[in-house]
Amino acid sequence: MNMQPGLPSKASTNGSPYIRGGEREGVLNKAKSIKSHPANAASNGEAGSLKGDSRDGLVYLTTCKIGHLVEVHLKNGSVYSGIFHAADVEKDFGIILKMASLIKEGGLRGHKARSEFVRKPPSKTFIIPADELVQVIAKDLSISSDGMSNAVQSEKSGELLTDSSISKSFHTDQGRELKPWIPDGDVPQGLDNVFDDPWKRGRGWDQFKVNESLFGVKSTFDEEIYTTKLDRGIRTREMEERAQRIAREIEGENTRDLHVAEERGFQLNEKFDIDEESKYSAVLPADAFDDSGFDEENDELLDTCNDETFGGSSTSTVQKPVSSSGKGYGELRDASQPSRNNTNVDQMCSISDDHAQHLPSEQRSKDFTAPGSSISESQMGERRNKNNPEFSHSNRSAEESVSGHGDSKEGAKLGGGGTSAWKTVAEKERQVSEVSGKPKSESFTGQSASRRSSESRPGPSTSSRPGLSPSSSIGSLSSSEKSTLNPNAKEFKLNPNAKSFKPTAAARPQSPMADASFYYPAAPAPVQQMPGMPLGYGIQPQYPGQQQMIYYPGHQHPQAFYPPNAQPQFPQQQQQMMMGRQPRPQMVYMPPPPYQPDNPYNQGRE
Amino acid sequence: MDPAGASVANVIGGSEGEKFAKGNIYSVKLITGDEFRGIVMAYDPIPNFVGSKPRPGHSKNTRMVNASFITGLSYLGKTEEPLLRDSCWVNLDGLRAKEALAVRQAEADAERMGVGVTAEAQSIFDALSKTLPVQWEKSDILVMKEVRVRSPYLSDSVFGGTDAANNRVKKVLELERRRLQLFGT
Repeated sequence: MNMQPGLPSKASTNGSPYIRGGEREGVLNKAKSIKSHPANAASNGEAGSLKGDSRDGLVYLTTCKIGHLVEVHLKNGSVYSGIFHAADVEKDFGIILKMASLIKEGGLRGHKARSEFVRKPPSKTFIIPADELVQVIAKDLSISSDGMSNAVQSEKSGELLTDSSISKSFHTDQGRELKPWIPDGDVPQGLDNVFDDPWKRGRGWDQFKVNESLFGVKSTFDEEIYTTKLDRGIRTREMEERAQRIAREIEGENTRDLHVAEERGFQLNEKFDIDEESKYSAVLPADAFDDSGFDEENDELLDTCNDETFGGSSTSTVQKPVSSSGKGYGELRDASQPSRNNTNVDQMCSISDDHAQHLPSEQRSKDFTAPGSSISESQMGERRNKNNPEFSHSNRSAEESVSGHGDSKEGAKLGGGGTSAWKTVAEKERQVSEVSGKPKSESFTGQSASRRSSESRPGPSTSSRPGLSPSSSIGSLSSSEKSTLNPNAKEFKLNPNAKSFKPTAAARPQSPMADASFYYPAAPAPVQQMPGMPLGYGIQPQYPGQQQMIYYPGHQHPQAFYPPNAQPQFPQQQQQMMMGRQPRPQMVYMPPPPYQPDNPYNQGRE
Repeated sequence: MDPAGASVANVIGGSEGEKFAKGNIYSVKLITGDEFRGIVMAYDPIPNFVGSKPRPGHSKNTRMVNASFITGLSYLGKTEEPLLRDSCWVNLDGLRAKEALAVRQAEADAERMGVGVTAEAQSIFDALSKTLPVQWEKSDILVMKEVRVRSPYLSDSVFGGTDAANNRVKKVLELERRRLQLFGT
């Protein structure tokens, strides 16, 4: 902060000109010589390079006062209250207050009755030369040898607004006289002392007991289910302070994520034309994005994977059918079980896992496994691919920005560790992103391998990328300057003749209904006796039309299922068949029945 | 104004060398009339300032006093040196953050204070601000950006706004005034 000669004039225009005309010059001189960084002096003092040890103590005390609300007594008896900002430790300890306001008028005016005291606005910056200064009192400031506690103390009150403080009126209700409430007389007796000592008497009123006695309801309430039991022991204060410190470090860190930055109050967007839609929408914008350096790898990978699975047709074939075929195929991918034979999907998953990095990827795979709507899953898979270049890129750019800005951004510095901590973080990120290069080549070795590599990464990454909050939505990535669409991706073309997944009957004896989609009844296939399945579970093959059927292979009720177009004698036949060889060899024993929603796909497959 | 807490020891002039040695306990009287007690933490003859901390057990007011203004000084005793040189350190970032926070809060508070208004007006403002969004406009209270309450802040000094808003402000004003009178603030 620079002390310009203009400052005294600033102080005077604020309504309470302390500096009178005659003193202007004296003040100006002092203003120029005022050291704007008592912090520097403090650090010098600690190194012992200032003149004399005697200065050190004062400097230390002075530094501790920074930011604290102090009262300053002046020679003429006036008292000012303001936030201690700076002091001239080189010269004679003139001080500067911010937001100073006059509390007590000194001098001739003596003691004014408070009600007549007309308020003046506080001066934004207030300079007090040393020869006017009698004393500076910092209330409730405990100077211990540990300067840390000073900062921490004030943080606790921080900006935590409790209801009572919000609704606190500043000058009313202070002299209110309280009278005890006297009941009218209709009040049931014996309630007078119930709430007097709720803690000491071990909760005099126990609603649960009362309920039990009155209504016979037993309570199973256990507070600890709903809340975390605090470990309030001997070292609570230390732990709290430590936690505060860590929280402060985390919050002060640099972040590239727009949402995290917003929460912390940083202005992240260099271009200011980002409107709400681009910030918060979950829809990815269609414009190109800047993906320098990462394109080639990503594209090659995607293309090769896709070529393998789709025989050289479009890249994202898998995704489209998923979304358009509706529930059928979606359920195929439901609850992402790695054991699935569906190599298409899984391979895409593995690619996605590789590309998606760190915390967000971990979150993604979690999301993917969460039983949710299948369509959103597919979209996520789609997005995941597209987001991956974004991730890696933002990783890189983040580390560049970290090292570049590490020195200039004061506010983002970690506590006392300063720049060294930043460098280690940057290094970690570099390492991590290098590591990430490797698993890509392993992506084809198998799904399990790729999953493993992707899961192992969250380890180191968790510490190095706290900036990316796991809760940020996928769309949030699109909110940063770069779009997440891959401009080089091949256009998706619907391929109605693409092979569908047909599990063999033996492979899935008990698979749930969800598997269905593209199963269609095999033409007169030999009847297979599935273990545990009643014979009667036959389904007429060759349905004339595609019927919606819901079939529960796991359930043991032979009559549960009636195909809509079943011939009327079906039930009887079932029973007959139970006895032995079925008279109708055409009864094909179909394992998990096709769940065939009416859609063009199915018909195409016949 | 000062509880018998903090005291700052100041050396008047540099000649009384060890007068303000660290750890000394003094009872100090200043030209402003303040009196207090405390333990010397630091002293520097050149600017003639002494920092002191309160005696343990008393309220925690740390002071820095200009030695030139001490009128009375009496030596009370001695304790060990309160500041341990090597373990003194400050967290600059924390302090800066603290200052920024304090300034923010002070500015917010300043917004609520009216300029050149009487204390009564200010208390009315505060009372209104509990339930209504109010701001100062010169010496008028602007409620919900539409309704204006002028001095002397009575029910008939309420102007502007829609009928509903106007009536509401009037009502609140009356009740608040009544409450203020009742409790004599």
